[in-house]
Amino acid sequence: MPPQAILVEILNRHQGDAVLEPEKLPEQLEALLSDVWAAGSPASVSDFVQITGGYSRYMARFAAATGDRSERFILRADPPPGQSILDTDRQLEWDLVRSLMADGGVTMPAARFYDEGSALGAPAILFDEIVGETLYVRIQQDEVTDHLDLLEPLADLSAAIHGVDVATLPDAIERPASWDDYIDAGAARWRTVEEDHVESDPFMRVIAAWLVANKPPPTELTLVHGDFQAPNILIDESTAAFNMLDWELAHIGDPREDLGWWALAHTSQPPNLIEADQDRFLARYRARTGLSEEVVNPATLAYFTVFASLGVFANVIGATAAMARGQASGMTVAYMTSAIPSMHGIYINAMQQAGAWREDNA
Amino acid sequence: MITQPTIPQLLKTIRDELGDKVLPQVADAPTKVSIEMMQAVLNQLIERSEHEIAWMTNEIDAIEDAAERLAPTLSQSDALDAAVVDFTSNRAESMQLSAVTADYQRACEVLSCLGEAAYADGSEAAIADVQTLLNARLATENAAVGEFIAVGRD
Repeated sequence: MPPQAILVEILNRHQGDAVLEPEKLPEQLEALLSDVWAAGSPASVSDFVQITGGYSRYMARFAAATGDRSERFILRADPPPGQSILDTDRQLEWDLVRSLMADGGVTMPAARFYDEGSALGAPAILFDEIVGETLYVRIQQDEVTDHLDLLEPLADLSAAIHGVDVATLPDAIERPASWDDYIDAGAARWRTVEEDHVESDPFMRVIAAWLVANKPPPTELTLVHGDFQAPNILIDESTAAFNMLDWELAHIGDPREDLGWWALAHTSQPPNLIEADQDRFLARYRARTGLSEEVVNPATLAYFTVFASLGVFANVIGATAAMARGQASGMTVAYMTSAIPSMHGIYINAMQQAGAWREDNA
Repeated sequence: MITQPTIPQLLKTIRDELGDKVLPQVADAPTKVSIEMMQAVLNQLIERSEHEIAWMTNEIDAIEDAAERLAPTLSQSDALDAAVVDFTSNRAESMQLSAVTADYQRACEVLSCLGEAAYADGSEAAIADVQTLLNARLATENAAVGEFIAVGRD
């Protein structure tokens, strides 16, 4: 099962499992860092600030000091049960980012320390803090068309992700047997997830049928980030490098999933930089990956806008179902009920766009 | 039975109080995001409390009509036929929200089976009819929640 297939298991946590308690984190971090970073010397934590913006993990930034040495870190931890819209595996994310750091093909903040929960109350990763701003913040300054020069580094980043040698990735990441098997299983999952949902969703059943009836040309399976969107790309202030964040949904799949997911993600988080000049982005992406226009075009991207979104959509409806059953709470979960119609609309539009592009280019 | 102020009016009062008086007093960023999420959910509840039963009954009628027209034209319709039987034999007379919701769920299963049968047959006409029903459903959903913009992202 790929990581994005891990449905919300808010309900399945065992009684007595360790739970993150944010008010205790500075003190817990001091103890952890004393051990793993300061070689047993006392470590102090200051300037601890929770980071808002993500809907899945508990994030915070802070400064740590020991003796005359100081560094800044980002904490990425599992939130208290019932507070997240998706539940993924921190150990797997840690293993993946460490393997990607060793590979060196994708720029990202260095993952420094992992705690399985014994020190911080929940599985957590500590990253180096990189000073900069996200691509999402950058493109909201001025008009999006003023930032078209960012399309090339964006295409290069996505091509770098899709160019990672999958043989170097952790064994725990599932390797699909073939492209056809992968696509067929993905389409079938729309139906099985709908069957498990708390209410009937005809969009999902129709999507499952549409995905089978409209398969695009196949391509080599690659590493897929799984949540490729501007808020997850940090532009280093000193180097201007694009750093890819948040790898919890990464898996091996079709590389077009990331480009399709981008379109969906930026419907609710405008502006859409790629849409501002899609031809320019796709030309660069095709040049970097060697993929043809038959494989990467607006119709195939529309197909994968639908295909790629099940991982997140399943978690969203899983969380809302848990709330409906009285087994989860949290404002974020309640809020995400408002996202479901938006996602339905994106699917319908993408299906229509794919059909229209194919007709125009038949 | 108290009907005035209406449920939407009461919910609007809560939403506006949160936005006008509570939110400006809050400095903590996560709490601000939480309040903005509450406002979005309240907006949804204002619309649903006013329209939800009418929306569901109208869509049930449209699905029932489509099933009667399309089922005889589709060859792979066993699941569709079963869903129609389940829907018609269990239909409630009550306007209680829970009863209408149960009817609606059974009607949605009919629509799902219609879509699957239409694609399995490759029937462009049936696919177009299902698409029309989904578009109508989408319009209702959008009326309920409005445009979704993710709050608190940076």
